[in-house]
Amino acid sequence: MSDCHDPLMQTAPRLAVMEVDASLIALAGQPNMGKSTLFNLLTGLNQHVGNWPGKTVERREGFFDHKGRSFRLVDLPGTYSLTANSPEEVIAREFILCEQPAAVVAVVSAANLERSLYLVAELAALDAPVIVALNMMDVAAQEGIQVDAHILEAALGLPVIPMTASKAIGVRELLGVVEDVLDGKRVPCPHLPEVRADHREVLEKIGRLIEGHVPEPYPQSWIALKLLEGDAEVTGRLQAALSPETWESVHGVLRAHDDAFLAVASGRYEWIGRMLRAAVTRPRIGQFGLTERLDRWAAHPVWGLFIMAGILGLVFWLTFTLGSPLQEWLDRSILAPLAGLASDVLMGAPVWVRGMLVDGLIGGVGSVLIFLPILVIFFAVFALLEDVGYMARAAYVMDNLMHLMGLHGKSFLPLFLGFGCNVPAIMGTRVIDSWPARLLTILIAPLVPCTARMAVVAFIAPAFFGENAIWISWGLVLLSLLALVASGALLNRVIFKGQRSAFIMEMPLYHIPNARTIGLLVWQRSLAFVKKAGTAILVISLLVWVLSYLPNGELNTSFLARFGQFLEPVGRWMGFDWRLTVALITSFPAKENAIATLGVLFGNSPDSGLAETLAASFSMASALSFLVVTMLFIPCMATVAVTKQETNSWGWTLLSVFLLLALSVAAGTGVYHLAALIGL
Amino acid sequence: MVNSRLASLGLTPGVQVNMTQNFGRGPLIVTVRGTRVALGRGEAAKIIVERGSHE
Repeated sequence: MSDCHDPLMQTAPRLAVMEVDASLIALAGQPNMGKSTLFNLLTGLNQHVGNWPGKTVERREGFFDHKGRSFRLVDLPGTYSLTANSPEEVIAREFILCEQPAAVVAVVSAANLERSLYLVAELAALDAPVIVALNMMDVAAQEGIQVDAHILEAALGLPVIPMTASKAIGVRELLGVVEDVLDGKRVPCPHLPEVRADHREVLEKIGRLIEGHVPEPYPQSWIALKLLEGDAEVTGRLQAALSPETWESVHGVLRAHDDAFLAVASGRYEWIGRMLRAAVTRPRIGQFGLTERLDRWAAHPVWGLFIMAGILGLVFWLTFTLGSPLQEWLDRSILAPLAGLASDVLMGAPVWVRGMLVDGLIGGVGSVLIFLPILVIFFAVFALLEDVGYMARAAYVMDNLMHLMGLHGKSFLPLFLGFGCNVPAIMGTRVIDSWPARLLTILIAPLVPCTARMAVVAFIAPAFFGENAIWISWGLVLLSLLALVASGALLNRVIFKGQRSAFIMEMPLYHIPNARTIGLLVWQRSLAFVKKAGTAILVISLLVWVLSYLPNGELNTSFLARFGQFLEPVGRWMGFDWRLTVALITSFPAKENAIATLGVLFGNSPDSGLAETLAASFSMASALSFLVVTMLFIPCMATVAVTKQETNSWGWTLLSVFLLLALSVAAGTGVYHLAALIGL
Repeated sequence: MVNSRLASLGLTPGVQVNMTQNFGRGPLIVTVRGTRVALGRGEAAKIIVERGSHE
């Protein structure tokens, strides 16, 4: 057993020059351990969601008070280990090493200790004061697993606090221990795992070679361990820090032991086994109770697909039956009076000021606001499915289909979110671990028919197709998804040369959802949407309004109309006149704008007579083509903005826009001529 | 990279793996160290196992 006065640990003293925040606490843990639940419980709405500097990884930070003291809590990304497999893992360890939090609370699951202690083993090696929050005691009890926290504490040499965060049990005890650690009353003194015996000598050899050359603030023993594990990030860092000769000898040792990471990982699990031997009593292996029984259906290759389709249908039904009345209410009771009020107040102002504020500003805000109820409901159902543990099953049963595009099941999760809105879908691609797979998912995500596009379909289809509208709508959804799979497969072949990333995913135990976790998730996703989409939609709404007003205040002769007339030849291929072309252009800020524009162009409001006027003005073939193009067209402004943000490249963003433009024009042209041929 | 991700989920040499779900094609689920892990067939094919006694 090692002790706290390990000479190796002392060679890298903690940095004294850096300003250390004595109230800073880091929250670490693997996925599905209830880390977010604990974070939300402690900070409530007192939290800020942003990005880690220069990374598209979510950073959550919050504040809370306990016994008159203020604490700053940073939620580290959920990772299984601290080896540089992903940006999340690098962020977590760099934060602990460089920011030096006064305490690191490691959330582990009592129901899944063997695996969750793996991260604790890595955290302890960082020379940080680790406190173990032994969460999910209730789930463990339900599975028949008993954990003795005192024995575990003695074995680990770290404070262990049993708790059930979802029921707020054990939080006070945890905070008490955090205080003790911050005040120096308790000093965590971990019994660190050892590398498997056959590689211990190699580790010592590396330690001797790099001695004195390790850049601050990295502990030398940790660097040596990571080199042995073949960690690419640490290897690169050391190669830069060492002289070429020293690096050559280190590299030589590493090359002779390139399987050493298995010895390190095995060493950690052997250590975990020793820690758990006395502390845990578990029932016979293979008993999974509820999860086992549910997965027989939910993860079945055939029934699982039916269940998923059923759930998807239910989500839509719920979203629209609950959301549509709310939308109408918002429009009638809030926006219409607001616009009326603004017009009255601005009576004396110049016409263009009034138009810009009432039509541009309130109209723009309105289209965001009106969209929100549907989105909130969709987010809530999605968050519920996520928290229960179902989403992993959805990813699992969709894996086969995603393989057609060289993707795997995990890519399905953001695409699912895309049915609500493409903006969170593109942000949601962050769950995908490999960059090419993530990029491909971002490129195809706009082809998922979002609720805004379905709103346009829901208005136009009944006007032209009457009772058949429902089949037309389903057909359009199917067409979008076929286009998605086809372009995904093509892009994978052409740009990504058919490579595919590994599908390795934990299937968490099903558990009872936590209202607080779901509530906060919905709140944060909605807020992110309003911030991202809201500003983009507002700016473009104003711009479109200005173009539709200048030069003489008449839409029919405005710059926008002229632009539409200029593009009309292209519109003709798809059976559009200039008005449909303009409607399509104005759908760029927000898809549902297409209806409002047609309303203005035809002088009918969407509430009275527009549907009839449209049906009288265009052929069914034109209408069908317009719907097809709407489904496949350039995604809305907000989606383009998020694509730029997440890919951090104009090249990929423009490629996405161009591909969708080409696809929609081609499909529209094809559909129009085909429909005209059969006499629609 | 894949190896080290597998290792962090508990799949290390010599560990006992229970096949939880395998329908002959598509991804499969194994139980290792008390965790259920979904693996693509390609990933699973690279893991060499020895048949053990049925528990």
